[in-house]
Amino acid sequence: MKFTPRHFNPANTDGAAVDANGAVTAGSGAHPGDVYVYAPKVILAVNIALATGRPLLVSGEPGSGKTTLARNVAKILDAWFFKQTVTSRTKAVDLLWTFDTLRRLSDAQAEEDLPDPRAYVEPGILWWAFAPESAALRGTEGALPRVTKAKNPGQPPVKAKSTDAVVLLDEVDKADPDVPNDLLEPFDVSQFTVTETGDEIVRTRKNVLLILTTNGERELPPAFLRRCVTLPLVDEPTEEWLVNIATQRLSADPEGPPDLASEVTRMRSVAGEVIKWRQTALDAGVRRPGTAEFLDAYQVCRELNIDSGSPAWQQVALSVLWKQEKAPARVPE
Amino acid sequence: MRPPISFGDALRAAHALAPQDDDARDAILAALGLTVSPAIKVAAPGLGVWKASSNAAIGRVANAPTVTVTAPDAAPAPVAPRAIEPGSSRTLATLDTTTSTSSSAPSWLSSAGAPLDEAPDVVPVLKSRSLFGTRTNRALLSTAVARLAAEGAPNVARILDTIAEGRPLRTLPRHVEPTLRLGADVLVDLGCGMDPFRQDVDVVLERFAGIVAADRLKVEYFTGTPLRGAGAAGADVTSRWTSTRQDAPVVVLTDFGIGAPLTTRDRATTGEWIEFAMTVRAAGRPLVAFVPYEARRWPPVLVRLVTMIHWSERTTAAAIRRAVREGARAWR
Repeated sequence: MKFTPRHFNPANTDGAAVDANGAVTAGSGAHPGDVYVYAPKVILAVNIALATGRPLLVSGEPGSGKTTLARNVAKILDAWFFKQTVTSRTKAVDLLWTFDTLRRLSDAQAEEDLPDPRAYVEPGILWWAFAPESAALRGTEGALPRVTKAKNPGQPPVKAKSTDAVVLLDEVDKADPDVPNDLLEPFDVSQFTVTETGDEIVRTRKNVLLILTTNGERELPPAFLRRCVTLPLVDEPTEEWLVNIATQRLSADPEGPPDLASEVTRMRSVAGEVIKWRQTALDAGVRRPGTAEFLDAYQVCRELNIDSGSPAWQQVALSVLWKQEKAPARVPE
Repeated sequence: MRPPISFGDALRAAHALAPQDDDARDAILAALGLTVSPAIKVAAPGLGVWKASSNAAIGRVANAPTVTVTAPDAAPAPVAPRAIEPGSSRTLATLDTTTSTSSSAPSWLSSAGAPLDEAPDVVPVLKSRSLFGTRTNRALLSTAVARLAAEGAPNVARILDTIAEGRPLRTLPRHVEPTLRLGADVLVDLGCGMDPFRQDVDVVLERFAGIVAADRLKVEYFTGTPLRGAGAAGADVTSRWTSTRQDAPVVVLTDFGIGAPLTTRDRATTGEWIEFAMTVRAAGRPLVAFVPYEARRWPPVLVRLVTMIHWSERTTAAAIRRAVREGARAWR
């Protein structure tokens, strides 16, 4: 698959490595999101979203790396990163702002002289992404008495001058069915009005990439799907893939072991077990352990010095890889 | 809101990414929800041929299979009626229908005609019409299953009333809004009276899976009433149904035995259904029934205990909302 990754190219980052299949390992660090292995179709999908200005809908099983992808994309684009996990109570307007009615009422009962209503406006992540300056001032044009500056909830880029933003809306399938369509509306408009204060907020930041993730637990409305660039992440890790991910993480960890080579043996052993447990889960019709579970299991083995052949490994596997109420009928050997 | 993804987005992506092979082109189109068809050629740089998969095709697909039937050689000559002779006792039985004014049989009768073309390999399967229309069933089911929860905007009127009366405001009263987050328990009647509606049951279950989160949707099957025994597909259905959740509605897909023969064991008595309705009520849960027969056939006693919805293509969301509201009022 040959194309020009004009807008997003992780291969151009420091220390990036490209394997024979075209997958790019980019980033370094021990935290989730610091390192990501990009398959060519992932690089393509991010570029399409940036080229068309459409949201990127990433679907996949829990633990397949959807959230990690968004963090890493923000890191590579050197953009502000805003994240919100959608719940069954999330409303689209909450992404723009919330108004603390209860605090205002409490202040009204306690004091005679109330501050300006803007003091109770809390800008949401889309407001911060679209118009950070007005978000900091809660929609005012200048400082007002007793209206404190709002705190930016986003993660700043490395370079302070970056003007781009990546907004992650995690698990959109958790919301009520009508909400996903409503979520796109504030993303499309170039201005909005804060109902409680009447302030008109104009979008000042041009480059905002919206990434939405779904675990596929609920069907998303067709009208919503037709407005998104879709990227299904199929977590089908191989032993090599898992070892590669773990090696990248460990090599950047300042508290990592001095001898990485010896750890690779343990990684391979745990990765092999994960592949076996994936088959066991598939046979049992339950969710298969993925990359996230492998990293957890490997971390446990490393810290507690457990080998995959030891009796303790069985308990680790049941707790970290299997995660079901009852043990499988047949445990992998 | 921005319009759906279209050819313009594909062009924009192709211009930016300059795909150099078919794999890259196909991947771009797939990510945008578009597909490639060899039937239509479009002069778009780097895109080759494509056809919208989610919208109507931009152009007709060429070489679609057709069946041709040759017309008859000549139109059949009309048979003129014989004049009735005055005084004759002509009846239908005596009417001579073999006589006609035309001198010979029509030509199409003797000619075999040209043979039909061979039938296409793929025979189109007629789509069945579901009881709830395909476009509206999602909205109808959402309306039936949504529960009202006080999670909306603050109810300023109630707040002011509380303050004006000098009472402390212990919680913030909010407007009530419908929500699906409580999920639903769906009970499917396997009785013979429901046999004509099996396909509709499948459609409804599929639709429920799309609107209610997987971990909040429980589907069980029963015969008679759920109190005789209910269980998941393939599981033992001898255990009496019990309520394991609070608040989530119980939805029953049943005909209440209306369509079943009187003597079959599949048909439960009204008393059994009353017992089931009272069990659900005691658990504090709303009970909604989708019934594929008209209201005039519903057991009158059950109408007071169960929120019944006529499962029909004429059912509207407004009617469902009304039924649910009335059911909630009767429940109290």
